[in-house]
Amino acid sequence: MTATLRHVIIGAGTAALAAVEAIRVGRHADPITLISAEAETPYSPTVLPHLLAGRIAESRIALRPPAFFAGAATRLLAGDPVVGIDADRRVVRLAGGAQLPWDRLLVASGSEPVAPALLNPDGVPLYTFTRLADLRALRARLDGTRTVAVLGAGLIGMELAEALVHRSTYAEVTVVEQEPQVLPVAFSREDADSVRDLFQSRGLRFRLGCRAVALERRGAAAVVTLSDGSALEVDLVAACVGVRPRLGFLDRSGIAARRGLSVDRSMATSVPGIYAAGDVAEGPSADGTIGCHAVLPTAAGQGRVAGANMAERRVEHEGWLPANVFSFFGRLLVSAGVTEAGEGHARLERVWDGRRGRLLLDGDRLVGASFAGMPADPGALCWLIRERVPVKTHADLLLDRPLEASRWLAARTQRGAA
Amino acid sequence: MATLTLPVLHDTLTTEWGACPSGCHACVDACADHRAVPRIATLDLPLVSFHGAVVCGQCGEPACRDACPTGAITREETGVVRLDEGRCVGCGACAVACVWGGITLDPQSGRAAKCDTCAGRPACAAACPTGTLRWVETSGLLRHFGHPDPFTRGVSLCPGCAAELGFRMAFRVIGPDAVVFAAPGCACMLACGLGTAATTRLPSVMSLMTNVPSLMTGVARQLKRSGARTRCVAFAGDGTTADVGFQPLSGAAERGEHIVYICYDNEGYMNTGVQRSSTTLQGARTMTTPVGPGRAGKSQAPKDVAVLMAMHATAYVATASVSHPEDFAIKLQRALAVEDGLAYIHLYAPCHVGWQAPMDSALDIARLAVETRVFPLWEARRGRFRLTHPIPRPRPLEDFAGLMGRLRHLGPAGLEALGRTVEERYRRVEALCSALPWEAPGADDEQ
Repeated sequence: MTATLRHVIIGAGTAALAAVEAIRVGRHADPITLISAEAETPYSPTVLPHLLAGRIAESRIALRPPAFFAGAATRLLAGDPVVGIDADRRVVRLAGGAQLPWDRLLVASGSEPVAPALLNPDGVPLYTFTRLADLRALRARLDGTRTVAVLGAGLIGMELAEALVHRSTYAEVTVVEQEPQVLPVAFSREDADSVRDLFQSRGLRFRLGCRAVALERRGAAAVVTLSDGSALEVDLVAACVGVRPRLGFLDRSGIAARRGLSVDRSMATSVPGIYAAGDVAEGPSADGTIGCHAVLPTAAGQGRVAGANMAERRVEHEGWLPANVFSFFGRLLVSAGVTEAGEGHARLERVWDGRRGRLLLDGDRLVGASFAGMPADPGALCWLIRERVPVKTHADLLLDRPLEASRWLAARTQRGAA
Repeated sequence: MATLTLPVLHDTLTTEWGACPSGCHACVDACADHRAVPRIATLDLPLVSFHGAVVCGQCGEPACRDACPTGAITREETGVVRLDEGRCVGCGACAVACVWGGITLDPQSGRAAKCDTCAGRPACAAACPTGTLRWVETSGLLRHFGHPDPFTRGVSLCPGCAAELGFRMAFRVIGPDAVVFAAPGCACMLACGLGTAATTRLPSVMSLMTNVPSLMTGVARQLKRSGARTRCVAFAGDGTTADVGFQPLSGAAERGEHIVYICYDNEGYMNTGVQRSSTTLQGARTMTTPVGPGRAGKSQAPKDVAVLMAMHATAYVATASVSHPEDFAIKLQRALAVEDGLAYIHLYAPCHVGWQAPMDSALDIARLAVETRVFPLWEARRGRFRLTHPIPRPRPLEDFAGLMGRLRHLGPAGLEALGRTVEERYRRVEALCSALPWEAPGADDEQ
């Protein structure tokens, strides 16, 4: 083993913490410094809607216990954002003026909200929802707020809308989405429509297939002009139109980037010694296509792989696989793999009694599966897709009993049986 | 320095896959008796004639824990991966991350549910009528290996070294109240450190290959005189033990010196470039027993040093293998319990470098050596023998030979000759066991 390595990790979220644990597997004394832009105990933005809805208290969301950072070798610098990195001199520059030298650098800075493209001459405040500070700002404004427009019906927008309704039965929430369905990309049109119906039955309103084009102030309220010419008058506007990798501070660093930082299967960037993991990384999927995949299990897996390689153990990431779970009002939606049939894919579907099961097959093997309103195991489905397990002969069983059949098929191959 | 966490064994629930009687839900019912949501699931699929149970395997590096956004899943020191349901927000990330069916998102409660082993007394296993679902107490091994790791830092031996593993195991059993004796060989790197840096937490003495037991004799007698309970433990290779330093060892055994001598046998002079020793296996290729025209590796049968040591009516003699850690630990404890003489353990420690095998193969080789009868596991107290791991149906020798380059040149004739030697050695031990059977005076002998 080589001498002590200084590890610096930009970020303190899921990917960053998984990397710390992977480094520690073999290197107990290496100093690790995590830099968090926010002056908070490390948390995951996934909890924000649950905090807003009151399902969990802010005191209970720490990703790791305080002892995790208490050792001398693992240090957390919270509230001092990175403003730049110098790949030649191998230092990270912080807003506070400090320069941190590193031997291995991990960029796990997560994602940031995309600003919606609209005219806002009056400077109407647009509330985003990706950080604890956003939550506090939003919460401070909610008392006395009766009507809210949520721009964007992705996972963040839908969860925010649900939390607002859950929190206060008086809030009137309208979700605006330019796609014709809610939860685009994550779920199929049919599954998404069932969610929309469920939300509507709880009093939420939707404006699908149009987008906000302008905002203006009207007294204490705001008027949102939509692309179909109609207008909404609301007390508060939240913008959840998407996220993108947070990498503005890497300008002129020389690290190759497209949408996110380009990484190979070892999570290495184009610059030796610099790795990336989580939302900020643009790497190979299970089938080899390249892209960003901002979900928790991918962030954890990429973080583990990055950490192992930073600790000089050669490990490769198996590639991300699309998978989503959405559970609200007692209804469960599970999706793994592709959500819409591609060329040459067979589509098998069963709908009954409010339940919907769908398999997308490429020959013998599963490429996508989704289930709505019935128990299913997304992890087992991911295994079947990733490991190219032949499932065609058991397709009926999978549609009838997805939870049990997927676990049975997965376990057979996990245990080496044919 | 950060806390060192070592992977350890834990008790666990196991299921015999597909052996459940059809229609049985005893485990789920037992779990549901005291849980709102059962944490074990049956897979009831009569259409494909399958009925089985799935339950969390309490992973060492749980993917569910890493993916959880609220820190609700933690892995405890007992090995239990615990879900704090009060912190679960029902996001389902854990269920996406786990491919083993070990955690389930319950849409009704809006929370995940997983097994916590009922604090080591799982109701499901107690209720299982067929023993398909069992609670396996693997942690028994840890009771033997109770002491901390002997190393203070990384060691400089080759990656995948079985001797290093043997040293680690030995001193996790022996503990810190010992002096380590070593001679030139791979293990002097373990005992004597690197330059000015010590690698073990124990005091160590480096001697010559010719006088390890003699030096130990003096130190052990002086320690006894001073009233100390500190044990003198040698960790020396087969070159020192079987060849260069056999005479003083024989003398110390005959005199009954109160020392523990562990020979790690990697069958050759490995740190000087893989020369044969007297324990090198017959037919093995080394630098000094090459393969070529008229030469097919070592032509002699290996010297059975452990039997020779037992023939001194030594207080305790045993063979052990790095592949059988519990057996090794029990034998070490017997060796440490000896009050009135010498204890000798011959530890099989394959050298993947010298034996021309992959870096991760030493334990596989060691296990196959036992299962093919190449290295019989036995023990003897005052010359009374017993096999501790009888092999009634040995696996084919080809399985063992195929794992390493040093035997690859052996054709059918060479393998047959090696087979005869192996069989003869095993039968010799068997004959000793029946002619001079083990006598068990102590209560510790119930294995």
